[in-house]
Amino acid sequence: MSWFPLNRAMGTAGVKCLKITSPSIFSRRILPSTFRAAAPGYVKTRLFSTAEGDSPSPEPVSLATPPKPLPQQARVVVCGGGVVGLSVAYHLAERGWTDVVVLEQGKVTCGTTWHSVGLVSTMKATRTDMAMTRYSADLYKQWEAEGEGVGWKQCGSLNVARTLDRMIHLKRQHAVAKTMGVESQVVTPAEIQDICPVLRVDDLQGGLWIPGDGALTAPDVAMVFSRKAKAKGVQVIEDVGVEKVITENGRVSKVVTSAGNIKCEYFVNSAGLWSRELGKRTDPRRVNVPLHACEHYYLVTKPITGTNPLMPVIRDYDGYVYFREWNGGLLGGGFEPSPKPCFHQGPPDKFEFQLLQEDWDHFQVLLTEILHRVPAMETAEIRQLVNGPESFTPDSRWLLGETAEVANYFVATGMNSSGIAGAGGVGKQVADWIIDGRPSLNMWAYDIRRFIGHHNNKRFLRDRMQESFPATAVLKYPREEYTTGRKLRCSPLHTRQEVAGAVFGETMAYERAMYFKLDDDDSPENEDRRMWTYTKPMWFEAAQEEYWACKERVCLMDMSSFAKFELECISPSHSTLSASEEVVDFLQKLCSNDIDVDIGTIVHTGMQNKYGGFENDTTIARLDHNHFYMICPATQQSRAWTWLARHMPQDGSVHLRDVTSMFSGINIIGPHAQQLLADVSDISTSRSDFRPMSCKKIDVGSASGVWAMRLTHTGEDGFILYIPSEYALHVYDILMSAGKDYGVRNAGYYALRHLRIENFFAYWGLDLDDRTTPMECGRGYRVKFDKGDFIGKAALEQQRDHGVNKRFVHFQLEDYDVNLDLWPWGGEPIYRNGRNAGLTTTCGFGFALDSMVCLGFVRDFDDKGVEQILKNSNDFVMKDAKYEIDIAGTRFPAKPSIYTPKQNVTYVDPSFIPAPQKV
Amino acid sequence: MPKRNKASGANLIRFKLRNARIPDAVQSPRLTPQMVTSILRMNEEAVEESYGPVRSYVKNQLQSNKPIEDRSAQGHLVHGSASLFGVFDGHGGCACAQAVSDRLLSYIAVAMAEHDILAAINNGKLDPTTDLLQHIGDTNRLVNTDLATVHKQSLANFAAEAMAIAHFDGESVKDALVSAFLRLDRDIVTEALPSNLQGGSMDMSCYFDTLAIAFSGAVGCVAYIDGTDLFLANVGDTQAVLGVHNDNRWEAVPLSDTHNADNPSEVERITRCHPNEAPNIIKNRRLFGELVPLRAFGDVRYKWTKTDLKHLLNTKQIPKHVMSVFGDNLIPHKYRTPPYLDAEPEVMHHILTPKDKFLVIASDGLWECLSPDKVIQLVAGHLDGQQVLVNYKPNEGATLKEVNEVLSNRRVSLKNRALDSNTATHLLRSALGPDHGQVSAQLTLPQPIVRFYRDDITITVIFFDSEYIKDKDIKHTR
Repeated sequence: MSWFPLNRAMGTAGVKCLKITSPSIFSRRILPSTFRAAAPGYVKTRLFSTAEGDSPSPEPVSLATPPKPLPQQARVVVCGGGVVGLSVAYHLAERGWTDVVVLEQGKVTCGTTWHSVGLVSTMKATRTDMAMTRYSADLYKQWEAEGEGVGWKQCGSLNVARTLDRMIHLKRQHAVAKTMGVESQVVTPAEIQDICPVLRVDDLQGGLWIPGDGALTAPDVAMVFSRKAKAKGVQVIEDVGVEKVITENGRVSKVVTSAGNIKCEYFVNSAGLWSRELGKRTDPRRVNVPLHACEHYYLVTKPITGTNPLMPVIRDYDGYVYFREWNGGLLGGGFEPSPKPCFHQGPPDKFEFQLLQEDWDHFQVLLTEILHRVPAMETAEIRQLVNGPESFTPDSRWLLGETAEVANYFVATGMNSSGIAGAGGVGKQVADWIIDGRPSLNMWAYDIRRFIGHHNNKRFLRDRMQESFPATAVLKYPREEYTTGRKLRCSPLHTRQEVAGAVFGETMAYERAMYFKLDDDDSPENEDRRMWTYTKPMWFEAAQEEYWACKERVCLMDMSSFAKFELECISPSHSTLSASEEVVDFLQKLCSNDIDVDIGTIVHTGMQNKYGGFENDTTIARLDHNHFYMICPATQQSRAWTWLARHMPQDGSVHLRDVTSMFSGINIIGPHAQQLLADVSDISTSRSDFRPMSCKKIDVGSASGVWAMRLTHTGEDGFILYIPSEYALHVYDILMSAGKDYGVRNAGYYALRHLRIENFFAYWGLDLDDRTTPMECGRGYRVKFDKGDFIGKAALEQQRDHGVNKRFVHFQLEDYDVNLDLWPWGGEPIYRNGRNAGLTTTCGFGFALDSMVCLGFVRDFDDKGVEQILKNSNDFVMKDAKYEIDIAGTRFPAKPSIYTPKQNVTYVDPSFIPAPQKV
Repeated sequence: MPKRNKASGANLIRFKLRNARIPDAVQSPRLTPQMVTSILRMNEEAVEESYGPVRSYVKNQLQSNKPIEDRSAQGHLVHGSASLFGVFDGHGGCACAQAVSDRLLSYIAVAMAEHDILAAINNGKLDPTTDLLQHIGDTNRLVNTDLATVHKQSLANFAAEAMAIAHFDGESVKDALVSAFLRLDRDIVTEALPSNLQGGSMDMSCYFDTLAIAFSGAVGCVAYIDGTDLFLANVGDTQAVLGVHNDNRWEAVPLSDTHNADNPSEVERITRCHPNEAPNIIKNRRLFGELVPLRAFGDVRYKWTKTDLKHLLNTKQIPKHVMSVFGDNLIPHKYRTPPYLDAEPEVMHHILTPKDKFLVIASDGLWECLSPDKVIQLVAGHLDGQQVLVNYKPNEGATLKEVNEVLSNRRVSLKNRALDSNTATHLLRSALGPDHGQVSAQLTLPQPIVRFYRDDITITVIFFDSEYIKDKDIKHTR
């Protein structure tokens, strides 16, 4: 039943090909066969024929089978019989959870899986991506070896580069792949020609050859998942659509289907194109599943004589296109820059084995590139142009994990056209997540909690498709910002900053000034100095100015994007706040640091999961006895809320409020900050009167109710003012005018980033994640084991007593020229005595150290690549160790440090500034 | 377009607008894009019906005057294979333009008719108003029955007289067109003569209608298309321009001359007929300082004798409002040797070739906004854009290279895809704007002012069937 002739056995490939190329089979396999009543405007096409042999075919077999009765209850209900849903079910069953029901509204694979091209590439953007796709690839290879018949063809893949930047990108991938033992090879145009003679190579810079990659028959993979899951007891039920998911107390309780109700503990939304709409049908509170459908085109030719059946998969992403061999012909598809989003009003209920009307004019841009790269296709005839809708997410990464809105409601969807390559790894991770409460890899990049409500806005999603669809192909530079969906959340200072020359970036749709253009910066003339690049970016000088202003004078930085929460007790039985302890007790349980401190004191603390990893890294200010103000990274807005809400006392005594939009934050950084704040407020800001890590409610100018906190998140002295938003402009203006003689200026996030990286400040989401413990990042001193029980205590005690898995290290690159060499951007392999020891997390230039600084975790891998426990991590990192950091293939020596380097510590009370006194 | 005192009026109004300080209508459009589009499309019409060399035609109209004074008419000759397309632009009211659009094509049909047809009309076997001409498209015929009887009688008389003239069959198309124009004008002029009222052949209200027709005026342009023969008969300042595709370039070929003071030969023609009166006749580039076109239907103020006009003024039954538009000077100053005006058309003959792709006939409202060259470019671009409206499907067996070549060409055409599928509407929008703010401003001009900014616009675009013409061409040369 395989779509692809070479599935069964490589040896009989030739014979199969011959058989397949007979016209009658073509018409059955590829051309439209049965047209049933299709939704208007959609083409109903079957790409592959009915079954021969053991593999169940979607339609006829199901028709023959009498409908199974729906079970009354199940532990897990998976909605969606595509390759991902089936993989989740399979992996649950593999781990012994067999009380699983998969519901498919049509037939298995009928949504998107059936028209998948079936490419399995392991060369991905990050290590986690690679780990997951490699897991998939290994699984499929194993199945093929076991005779399951998934059409696996290990033809390798060849990613080619037309530009030097693409070449750098490939080399960076190559460097990471090496650390994982993925075989890959940087090749020259001549070598490309040897590997794949049909390619035009005269305009190529080179490429990356990955011999272990392959292609397969996507629906067959889904069928094997289904068959293996069923064999373990999973029920796969077709023709049953999920109408509603009912929740009780914020947890999944029941699934209402077209064939009756199923009580369940867990629900997995793997509904692909339908996921967003399905999420909305959650009662009483809808679940946001931000994805949108987009048309994806590929063309299949009739057989071309001389086509090598083992031709590698070609990815020429500078021309947006990819190729594979297909039944003696070639398949060429792509990810064009101006795609056509579809199903804006939601996909039709019935869309089984259907395609969309093909738009040749739209495909032309890809066709030109296809013919450019493979001129032999010019004389080929068309078998079919396929326009199949696929779902894409706002950041082109998968949507996985438990949702913020409903406990035990998981998603595994939004596959961004890499469903087959991802399915195995995704199924495994989501199954682990359900069973263990966390995946076995750091999945933050794919965690659905990285989004907030606005991301589910339909118009935003449709606009973002213009970037997230081509993202598969278009080279995305480090830290490159999106251009769609911008100016959504703006702080009150936005316009002022814009006038001051701010260049904005976006986090959680919040506009943040990244840097302020220098007066002599005239961007159009700086054509050769680009904003997005692998080398020194054009904002470097501007960030440098801001950095020194923070170090030597004073800067204002808009911190409004940080997620902010207030926790207090509003239980009626405790009318006086001071009498009760609910919030303290609650936070003590969640935080690893001691938060039962004096009123007006600020604590940096992690919130650990039971494995000791950072669920969140926050700054908590005790405003009153039972009233706390909590500041988290902007990206934590959804996740932090979920974590807090899920652990809240059931009696409702603790009240949690998201006050992100209520308060604007202005960071006053620098040695003159204390004098400046004293000038505009009515308090003494001397270090004795206003201690570091303390907070006060003060008046600034004519504005009242401003929370001033003596911390800056950078390691420098200064204050953050949290101002009720409507007063923020006033406060900003008054600071700006009062600060004139202190040399006050605006600073952006690049300056902040450089300060904190140089000062060895780890940030959650960038350096820290839920698999990193405080002991591993030098924050053991913030864990108070003697304060009583807290989540993750046992795991941390274990690490304290027996050693950690990794250690956070500050590296300074040596023999490195910041002006000429490629920059590290995070994700570069670290080599310890020639052996891979991990990857960098974040990097930035240290202006005071005058060297490039990379932060990263150092691990001890044994010969098999298994992480060893570090008994004495200080010694392991510092003693007898020579480090190198690999930037796109070039290894730079690096000097390690586990503390903030001495020369970088500023003395915040310069002797020539008298401490301000107020009478 | 306003025929009288345009310049000074416009200046006055603009001056007033500046002082009024109302929001800028272009910067702050009062209409939404949807409203603009629905207004522009209100009168659009498209007939996709192949008839001889005519593949299809589209038309549209936008009013400035209230009621609109432009008219258009289309029809096929029942006997024969000719198509007729007329665009008429009235002035001093819409009555004359209405009458001309109702009647002129039938007059042409009669003038073209062969002897036996005319005989049949005379025998009463054929009705000359309905049996000779098949109207196509929208026809807004408003004539009341009494008036229709009068018109029908005039037409029957024309048929009878035509038959009486021996060897009418041999008359060339050109002569037939001229005689139809002249005859219709003569009928309009004579039907309104006061003698008709006194003779008792008409009742009072019917007579007033004929008066209204005769005292208003109309210019017009009629295309007569038969096989590869294209005749254009033109009276006044309506224009017809042919779009010719030559070596990948588009060329605008005007097929009519405008009859106004900008045309020296026209001025010369009039002054030749009225020697020694030249300074009196053309004043301010207008006939008697009043009328822009130098040829027109109706406008009996420049055709009747002074006696007739005076007689009319003295006729008590005539309600004042019929004449009041002319004020006290119904009779133009120094009105000595009428008629000063006639409706003799200038007829041009063009043999269609496969390079001739379309013909645009439009009232001067369009030509004041857009040059013929621009109009042809716009139509050609639109035509190009329309070709890609249909989804492409590769032919069976086409190679990818061939497919890509077709698609690359279509890609260029895709850029020409216009907002409006109707070519006439596309021209209309381009004439007014094409930006939304400009179009909105044009469409929201208050009624008393709008005429100073633009005239009524009527556009008919006729698309030719090049295959048919090629075919005919070959037969012809053989």
